[in-house]
Amino acid sequence: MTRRDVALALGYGIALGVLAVLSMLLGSSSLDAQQLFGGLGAMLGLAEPLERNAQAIVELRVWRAICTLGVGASLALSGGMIQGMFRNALASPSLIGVTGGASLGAAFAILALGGYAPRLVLEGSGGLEAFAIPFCSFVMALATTALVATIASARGRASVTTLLLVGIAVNMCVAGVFAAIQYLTLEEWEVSRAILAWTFGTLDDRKGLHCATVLLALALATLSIPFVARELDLLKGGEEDAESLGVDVARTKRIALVSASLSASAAVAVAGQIGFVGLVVPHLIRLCGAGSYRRLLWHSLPVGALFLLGADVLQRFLLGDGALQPGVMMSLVGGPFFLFLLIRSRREVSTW
Amino acid sequence: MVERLQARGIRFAYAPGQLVLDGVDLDLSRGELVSLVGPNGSGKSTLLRCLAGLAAPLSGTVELDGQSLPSMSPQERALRVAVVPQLLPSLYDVLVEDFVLGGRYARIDRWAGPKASDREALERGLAACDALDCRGRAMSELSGGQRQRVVVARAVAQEAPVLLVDEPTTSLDPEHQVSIFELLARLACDGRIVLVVTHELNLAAQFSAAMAVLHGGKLVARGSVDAMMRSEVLTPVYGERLHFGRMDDGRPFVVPRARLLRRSQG
Amino acid sequence: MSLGSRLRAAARFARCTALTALALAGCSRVEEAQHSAPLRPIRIVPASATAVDYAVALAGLERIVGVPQQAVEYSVLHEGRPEPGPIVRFEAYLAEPILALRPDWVLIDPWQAPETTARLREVGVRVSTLPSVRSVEESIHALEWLGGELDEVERAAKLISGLRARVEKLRAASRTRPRRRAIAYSNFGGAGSTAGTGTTVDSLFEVVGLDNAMAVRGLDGHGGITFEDLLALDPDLIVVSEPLRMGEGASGDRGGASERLLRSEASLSGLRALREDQLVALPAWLFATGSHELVSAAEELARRIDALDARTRAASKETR
Repeated sequence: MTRRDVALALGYGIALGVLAVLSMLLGSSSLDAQQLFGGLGAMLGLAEPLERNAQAIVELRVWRAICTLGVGASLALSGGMIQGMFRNALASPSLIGVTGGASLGAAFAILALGGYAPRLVLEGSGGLEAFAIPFCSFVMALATTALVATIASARGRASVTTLLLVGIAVNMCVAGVFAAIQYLTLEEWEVSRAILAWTFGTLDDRKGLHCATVLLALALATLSIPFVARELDLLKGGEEDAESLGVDVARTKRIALVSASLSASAAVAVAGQIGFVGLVVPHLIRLCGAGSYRRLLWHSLPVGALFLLGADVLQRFLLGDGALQPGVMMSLVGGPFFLFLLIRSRREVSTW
Repeated sequence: MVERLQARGIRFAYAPGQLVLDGVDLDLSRGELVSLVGPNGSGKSTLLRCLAGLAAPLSGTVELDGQSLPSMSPQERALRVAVVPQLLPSLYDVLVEDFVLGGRYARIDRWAGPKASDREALERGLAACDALDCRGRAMSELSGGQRQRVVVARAVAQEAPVLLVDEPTTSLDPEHQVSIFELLARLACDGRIVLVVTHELNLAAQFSAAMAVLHGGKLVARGSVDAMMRSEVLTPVYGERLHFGRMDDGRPFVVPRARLLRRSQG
Repeated sequence: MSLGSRLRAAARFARCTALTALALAGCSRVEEAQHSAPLRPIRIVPASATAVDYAVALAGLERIVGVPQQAVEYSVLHEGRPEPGPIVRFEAYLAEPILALRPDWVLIDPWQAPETTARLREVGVRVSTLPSVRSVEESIHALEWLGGELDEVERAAKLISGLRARVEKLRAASRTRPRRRAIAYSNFGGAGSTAGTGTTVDSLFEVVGLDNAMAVRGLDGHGGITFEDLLALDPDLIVVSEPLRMGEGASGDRGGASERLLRSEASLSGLRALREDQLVALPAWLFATGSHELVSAAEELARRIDALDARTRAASKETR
C-alpha cells in the first residue's frame, strides 16, 4: 500500500462517515443530532437509551444506513466483476439472472404471505415472516444464476457468449413467470400492490438480519477479489490470450460468477430491484483513471456505497421523507447521468 | 533447458468431419527459428494453438522434452511456452507496463505482487523490442508498429523457452517487419525454440533456419530455406504465379507475378 | 404537501383524465347501439368485485350470469353468502369470456381495460362504468346512479335509506367511544403501505369515529409507510386485513401477514397499539371493498373495536 492509497482510504472513510451521519439525520420523523448520537451511544452501551420509540427510530436509521452502504458496495462490486468476466462495460448482474430470479422469489413469497400457500411459508416460521421475501428472493436469484451457469456449461466449458445467450433466455422465462403472476393477481389488490412495491426496492425498515445477509455476502465476494482481479485484467485480451499467460480461465470465471451473483443476490433480495449502481459505478471509476480491475474492484466497494448513500441522502434532502423508492430514484437520476457520461466520453463507446 | 518440442499426428477439427489439421508431425529444436508458411486456411494458426496447448487436438501428442503440454496446468504451460497472438482487442485502460507484466503472471505471487526480477524482465523485454519509449502510455494509444513490438516484448518478458508467434508483421511497414524478424532470430539464437507463422515468405527465407510448409491441413514439406524456396515445393501450394529469384548475396526470394494483360483484338 | 404526494396527486389526475377521455371517446361511438338495448337488463355481468356488490344489491343474483373469479373472495359473494350457485366465473375482463355469457349489460370499474370495453360496445353490448368511489357517501351516490341505469330506482331508494340509517347509527355510536388516532397498515414483507385522505379507508375511519393519523399527517391517497413513521406517529389503533383465504392452513387466531409482521417486529414492540393490544383485523373483502358494502365494513370495524374495548374493560376489572 502506497501513501496515496492510505490517503485515499482515509478520504473514503471520512466521506462515508459524513454521509452516513447525514443519512441518519434525515428521515420522516424529526430527530436531532443530540438524540441521534445519544441513541448511537446507547446502541454501543455507552449511554442511557432514549425513550423506547425514539431509540427504536435511531436503530432503524442505523440499520438503514448500514444496509444502504452494504447494498451499494455489493451491487458495484458485482457489477465490476461481471463486466470483467463478460469483457463488456454494459454487463450487469441482471444479465445472469440475478434480478429476474430475485423478483420471482419475492413474488412467490408475497403470494404465500398473501394467502396462496400459507402452509408452505408461514407454518413454523417463528416470527420470521419479515424475512420470507428476502430469503425466497435470495434463494431464487442464486438458483437462477446457477441454472444459467449450468446450462451454459453443459457442453464442455462455457464461453462468455453462451453464458450471455443462456442468461437472456433464462431471464425471458423468469420474466414470463413473473409477468404471469402479476397478471393473475392483477385484481387481487393487496397482493399485486405488494409485488409492484417490491420491484421499486426499499431501504427502509431494514434490520440486523437484513444487514447481516448483505454484509456476509459482500465479505465473501470481497475475499475473492485477490483471486480474480489480476486474472480479469488479463482477460481483457481475450480468454485464449489469458490462458496462454497462465490464467486458469475456467476457475476465474467460476469464482467471479459465484462472488458476483452471491453479493448481488443478497443485495437485491434485501433491498429490492436497485438497478444501475452495478452498471455505472465501475464506469465512474474507469473515468477517474482506475481502469485495471486490481484497482477498480477495490474502489468499487467505497464508491458504490457512497453512490447509493449519496443518492438516498440527496433525494431525502430534496424531496422530503422517502418520497421516492431507491430503485425508482436510481432510474430517474441514473439514466440521464449515464447518458451524460456516454456523451462526454465518446472514446469509451468504442470499447464495446 | 528445453531442447525439443515434438508434435505427433495432430488431427484437429472445429466442426465434426471437417479436419483442419490431418496428421501433422513437427519437430522444433532449441536455437533455430522455424517459419511455418502456407496459404490462407491451411491450418497454420490452428497448429500454433495446438502446439501452445490452447486448442485440444482430436488425436496426437504435443510434448516438450517428453512432457505432454496439453496435460499441464495453464500456469505450468505459461512457464514453458509464450505466445504472440495475431489479434488482440484494442485494450483501453491498459498501460504498456501492465500489459507487459501480464507476461509474468505465472511467476508473480498473488499476494506479494511483482518483484524486482519481474520489473527487470519488463525492462529487458521492452528494451529487446526497442519499445522503451512506449512506457507510461495506454495500449490503445500506440501505433501499429509500437503495439506489435510491445506484444512481442510481453512474450520476451515471459522468459519461456518456447516462443510461438502468429503473423507478427501484418500491418507493419518493411522497416518494422525486418526489425521484428531480426528480434525473433536473435531470441532463437539465445537458445529458445521459436516458431513463427507468417505469409512473408521472403522475410522467413532471410531470417529462419528452417521452413515448414502447411497445405490443406497436412505438413507437405520441411527443410532448410534453400530446400523450401523452390518451385517444386511452393508452386503446388501457392499456385503457378510465383516468380523465383536470388538476391545479390545469393539468398532466394519469391514474388507474385501479374499475368500479362493482352489488349483484346478488334 | 410534500413534493412526493404532489407528484402522486399529479399522476392520479393524469390517470383520471386519460380514463375519462377514453371513456368519452368510447361513449360517443356507441350512442346508437344503446338504443336497441333493453331498458331493464336481465343478463348482467358485473366485471369487478365492486360491480358484483352493486349488482347483487340492486338486481339480485338471479339476473347475474357471470362474475369474475376474484369476486368470490373480494365481494359480497365472499364465503358463499349468498350462494353464487350456477353463476359462471371468468378469470379476467376479456371480451371473449364475457361475450360467451351473452350479457345485455356489463358493469365495470373505471380502471378496467378500455380495449375490452370498446370491443364489447362494438358488438352492441351495453357497458356502464362505475364512478370511482372514495367514500361511503360516494358509494351511496353510485347506488343512486346505478338505480337509474338498471331501472331499479325504487329498490335503490330503499337501499339508500337503509344505508343512511345504518351510517347514522354508526355515527351516533361513535360519539360514545373515545377518539382514537388510527392507521391502516398492510405489509407483505416488502414495504408497508397505508391510506391517507381521499380513500375508502379514510371514510371508513371517519364513520366509525377514528382519526386517520396518516391523513392528519398529510398523506393523500395510498402511500408507503415505514417502521419509523409508525413509531413517530405511535397510533392508538392499527387496522389490518385478515388473510385473504382462511384455508385450513391459517386458522383465524393466527392473523394475516401484516398482523404477524407487526407483532413479531422487535423494533415496533414499543408501539402503544401493540402494547395495549389495540389491533383490529378486518376481513380482506371488507378491507378492500369499494362499494356500498363500505357500510358493512364500518359496522364490522365498529363491532371489533367494541369487542376490544369490552375485553380491555374486563381485563382492568380483573386487575382491580
